[in-house]
Amino acid sequence: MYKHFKAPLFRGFFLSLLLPTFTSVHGGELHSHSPRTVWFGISSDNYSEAITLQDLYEDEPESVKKGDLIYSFSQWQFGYQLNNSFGFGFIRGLDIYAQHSPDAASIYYSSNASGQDFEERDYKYQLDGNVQRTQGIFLTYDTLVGDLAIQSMFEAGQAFGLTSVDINGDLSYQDDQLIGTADIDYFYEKDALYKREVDKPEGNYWSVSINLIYPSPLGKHMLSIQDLFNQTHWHAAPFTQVQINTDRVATTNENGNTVFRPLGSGLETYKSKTQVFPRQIDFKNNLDFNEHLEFIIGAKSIDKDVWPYLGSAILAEDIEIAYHIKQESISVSQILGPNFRYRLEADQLFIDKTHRLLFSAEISY
Amino acid sequence: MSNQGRISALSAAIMAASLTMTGCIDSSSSDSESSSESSRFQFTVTTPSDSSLAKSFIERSVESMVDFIIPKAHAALTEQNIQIAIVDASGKVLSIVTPKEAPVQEEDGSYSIVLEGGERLDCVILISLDGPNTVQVGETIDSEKYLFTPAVESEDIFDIDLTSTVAFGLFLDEVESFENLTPSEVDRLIDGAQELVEETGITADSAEALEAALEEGLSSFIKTETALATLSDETATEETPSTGSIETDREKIKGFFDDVNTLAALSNSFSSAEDDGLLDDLVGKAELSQQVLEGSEQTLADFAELQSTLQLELADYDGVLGKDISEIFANDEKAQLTGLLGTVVTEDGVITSTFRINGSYGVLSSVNLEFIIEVLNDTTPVKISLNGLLVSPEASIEIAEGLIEVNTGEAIPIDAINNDTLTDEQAAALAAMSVSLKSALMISLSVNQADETLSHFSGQVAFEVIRSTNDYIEFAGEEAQPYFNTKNIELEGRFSLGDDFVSAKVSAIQNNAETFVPMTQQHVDGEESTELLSYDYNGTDSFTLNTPDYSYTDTADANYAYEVLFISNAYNNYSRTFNVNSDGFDSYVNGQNFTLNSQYGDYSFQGSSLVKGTQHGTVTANKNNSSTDAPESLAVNYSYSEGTLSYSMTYEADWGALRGETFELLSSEEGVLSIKTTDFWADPYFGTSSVEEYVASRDFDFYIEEDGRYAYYSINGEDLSLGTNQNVTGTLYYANYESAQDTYVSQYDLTDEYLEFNGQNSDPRKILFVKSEEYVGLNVTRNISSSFDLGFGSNQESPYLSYGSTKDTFQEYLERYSVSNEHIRLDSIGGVYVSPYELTIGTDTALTTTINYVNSLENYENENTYSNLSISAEFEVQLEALGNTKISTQIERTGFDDGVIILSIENTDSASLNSEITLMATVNDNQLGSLSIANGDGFVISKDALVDSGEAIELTYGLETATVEAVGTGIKVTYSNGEFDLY
Repeated sequence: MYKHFKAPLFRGFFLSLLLPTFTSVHGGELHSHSPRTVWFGISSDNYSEAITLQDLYEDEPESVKKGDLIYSFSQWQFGYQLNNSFGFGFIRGLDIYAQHSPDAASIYYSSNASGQDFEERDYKYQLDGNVQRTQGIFLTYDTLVGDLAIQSMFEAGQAFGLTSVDINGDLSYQDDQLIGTADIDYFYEKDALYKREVDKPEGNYWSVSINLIYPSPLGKHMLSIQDLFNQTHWHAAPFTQVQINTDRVATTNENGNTVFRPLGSGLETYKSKTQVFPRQIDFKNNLDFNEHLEFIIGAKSIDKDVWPYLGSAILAEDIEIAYHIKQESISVSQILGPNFRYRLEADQLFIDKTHRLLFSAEISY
Repeated sequence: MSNQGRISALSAAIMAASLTMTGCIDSSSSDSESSSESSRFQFTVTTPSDSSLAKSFIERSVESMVDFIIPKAHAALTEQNIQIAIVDASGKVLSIVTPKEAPVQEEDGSYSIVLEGGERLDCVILISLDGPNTVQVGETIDSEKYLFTPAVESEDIFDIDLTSTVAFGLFLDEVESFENLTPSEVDRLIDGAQELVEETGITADSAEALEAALEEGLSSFIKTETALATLSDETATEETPSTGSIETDREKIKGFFDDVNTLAALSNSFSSAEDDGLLDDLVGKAELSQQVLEGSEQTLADFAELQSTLQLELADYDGVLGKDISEIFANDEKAQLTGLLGTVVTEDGVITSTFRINGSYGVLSSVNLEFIIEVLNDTTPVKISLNGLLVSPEASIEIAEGLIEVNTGEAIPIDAINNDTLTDEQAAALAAMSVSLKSALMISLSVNQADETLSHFSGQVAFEVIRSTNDYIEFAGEEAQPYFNTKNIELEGRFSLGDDFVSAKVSAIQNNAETFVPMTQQHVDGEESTELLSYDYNGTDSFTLNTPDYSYTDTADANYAYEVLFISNAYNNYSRTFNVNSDGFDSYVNGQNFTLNSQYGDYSFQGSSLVKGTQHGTVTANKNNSSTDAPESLAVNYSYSEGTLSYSMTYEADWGALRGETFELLSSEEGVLSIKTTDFWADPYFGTSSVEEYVASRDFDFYIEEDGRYAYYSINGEDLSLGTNQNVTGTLYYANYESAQDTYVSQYDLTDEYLEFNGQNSDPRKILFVKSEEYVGLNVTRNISSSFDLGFGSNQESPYLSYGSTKDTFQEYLERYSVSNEHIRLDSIGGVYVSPYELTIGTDTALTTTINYVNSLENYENENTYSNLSISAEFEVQLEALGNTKISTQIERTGFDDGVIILSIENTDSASLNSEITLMATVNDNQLGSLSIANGDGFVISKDALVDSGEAIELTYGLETATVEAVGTGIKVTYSNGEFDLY
């Protein structure tokens, strides 16, 4: 049982989540640009609460914290601002979003960390994760309604690299065995469970993102909603549904004798799948302090998670520094001249300790 | 034609021919079915030449280059070279088959031939390599004249070569008929032989030697695989039936894997903890028979011996009427039998005697047998009807309807015996005469212990004992004795143990009973030899002792890091407090003459020699004994500070034990000193020099005592930490009164010098840590290889090293612990005394040995002498999980370490299993060969196909095809509709 869970659900799955993050180039956030400007931007926004990003990447966890979220939103884009209102360009992206129970991370840690033993207790295993790679074109539209500046972006194109998994399991570790039951619904491009040979699924996606910027006597207020509306539709996506029960004794028949069942039963087929990724909301307020300094107060939110932050902006240097309270990370963003901007955020100086890592950059001409 | 001739005739390595056959029909047979279908067989023929015969490196290199540049030219086979024949199981040609289409050579150099009919394992393709094939009806196919293989091949192209020829020849040697054998089984056998030869790369210098080498290399494999094919019903069929519905066909496949899953759930390897009971249930019940038989082992042995003895003694019966048994049966220490013989002689000369025997025999404390003996004729001299009761302390046997019949191979010269006119020739013939004893009896056997019946068997036993054609010499020099083997034994009945029961039917056949005799012990008492033991010694770090049964190699590591703690446990130190008049502690010490005991005797030193303020100093103790071997002085370690003194001396250098004493000034008042002194005896503990590590690695115990009531408590060392006046909770593990507390809190001190437990109503328990030491010394690892009685393989162990020897050189260690002057027990010989020797560097240095007793080898086996058994057993048990279950086993021993095991499990009264499941395994050279699981519906899954290939296999039943593949956790079976099961 232990091996059964370990192989397909942990090592394989987490690896499939993380590998593309560091092997793709991705692009940026939604910014306004001057007419007839060409820009190239990249960004990668990564967070893992329970396991460090490097441990996930190397599949050799050295520690585990309480946590239930992993995400990585990365993209690169190449765009051209036609006039004051419209811009367009090409964009490629990778989206990973997974919610898991703390026990799922514990099991992943115990089964993959060297010399680590399981605690003999019950585990609630839940994992709900989605992965997609996209490439498409985008159209931006900037306008002003009174003092409210509105930037919007519509993108659409093809999707690849499907992974969508939903696992619910009640497990326990007894006598050196991981036992229990688990239900798995799994869409995929590559089958990490049973290496099923399948045709690669192709999907179509579209997404709408907006930025709202409102200047007030107090300062500047920005509301950014990426993937405000989005949908990815997969036709004939490879799908596996399996129920696992390590208790092989199924029932007692009419003769009073034991009837055994397989370790697991399931169905492999192709079916349509629609993926919707959660909105990424960032509400930031730059409050004027004096002519040199602004206070920053804001919060980022994805689904039910909210991460507040506090900071300040040094206007002379076009630099913003913020502390993200729950993620315990510090972010720095700066505009260097008219053609380059960057942003960095991390919770640790050493890459092998980071749970939170964001970087983005944009060059324009 | 010679092999050399064959080679010269077709020197090119490979000839290819492709045969297209519509099966093989015996054209001479009038009832042969004609068939419109035809099968195409394509084969290559490899002569025993280039690739198989050993060549020099240069020859091979040149040949490889030529082969690379110039494609192989296939020598032409003509129609005259190929014949198709039907043979019987002895290889005799019964008829010649005319191909439907004559052999033709294909463009790729291969040949094809078309025959009518289906595959037949008795249809043989014969290739003559030395001219036209002139095989005749009645001729036995011979590897000297032909290469051949049966027309059973399912592959597109198959090989006809010397391997297929030798393999099929060995197969024919093993079978008496083709019954129960299928073409696919023989196909697998020949393919397996060819793969084996390819893997092992058998080569030889000549074709004759190559054939001999192939026969030797393949013999065991062919025997084993043939036995498997003969024992197992062919379950795998290429065309499986269909139920007519894909859903139902799917259920058939699923049923098979569910059954395999059920059996897997019954085995420990796949089951969860809750299922363990099922396996225990099965094993426990299956072992009932063994418990009954083992419980009555000596009783049965003595009963068998009694029968054998009676049979032999009765051979001397002269037919005289009214004899007392003592006249024809010699009682001895073992046999105390009385009885009377009543005899009636009929008109046709048959003597019928009624023989009632009472008394005791061996462990049979009560023998009460009634024989009705009929002396019939000169080849069936005795036929005995037997009823009776035998009782021993361990078991009782009740016999009814017993029948023992003694037969001889030749007529016994009864008249000559009676008239005492036996000639020497007749006497010699009589001595060598074959004798067999058949016995069948109803038996009720109860195993007792303390007058209580533990287990019981009732049923029927039949066995046949025959005299081996070889007489047995147990020890060299003794006279040869007739030796009897149990040719077969059949047992059918019911074993019961309490409420559990097993119905069993066991049949065992010793295939070599007619010739088998155990090994003779060739060695004799007092034999002196330099051939038995030898050693290799490289002078630095390796010593190997070679014996006929095993060898071991000691490998030395002279740089092993040792950590040692010298510990005086609570039983080895004794404290007392005394008062003494003195000016002070130092005055007391200076005035003392301290005496210490060592392995040599007492040694003394003056207290005035000690320097106050010294830590870990040394003082010389002088000899104070009369031993001539004792050194004149020994070094004493001491520490002396204000109010305390301790000293110690090595008591015994080899063991490393220390003896010593501590003094502690408790008080000093008005010229009276109160001093506490402790004598200690500390032994070295290897593994750590740290007190904390030592303490954490073990449990300690102490007891409390009150009014003669004791309660013992255990303390986990991990709960202790350095410090004084601390508390720790002990757990009760024994008490002689019921109200003892489950836990007890003890006060303790743990320092680098001592650990002491104190408690109310408990004596102090004090452990002294006298000394710690870290040093680099000698460590020796022993690798043992056994070959006689302990089975094959090796294991590593660390041989005994005392404290002293860890500080020796390897040579000193060997001299200290060598086999010189030792007595060694060897199972294949007996007791061997090794003469003293000087250790010298070299290999295979002979040791002089003297045998002081020899072992009988009657129960030992080796590759040349072993009992060739076939055992079939059928058990029927009521299992809690499966209901009534029939378990059949067949074991066929085909060599010393080769054999076949077949296990079938069938539910007889429930739906827990869908079909009978059969597991088949072969063992070659003690290694698992093939392993497959099949069921009655025609499914087979094999280890080779699934695990070794690592690829998915397809399994078809009627309209449904399932894909079976090994995944990380077991087996995944996927059906055509996408449903799958994991097992």
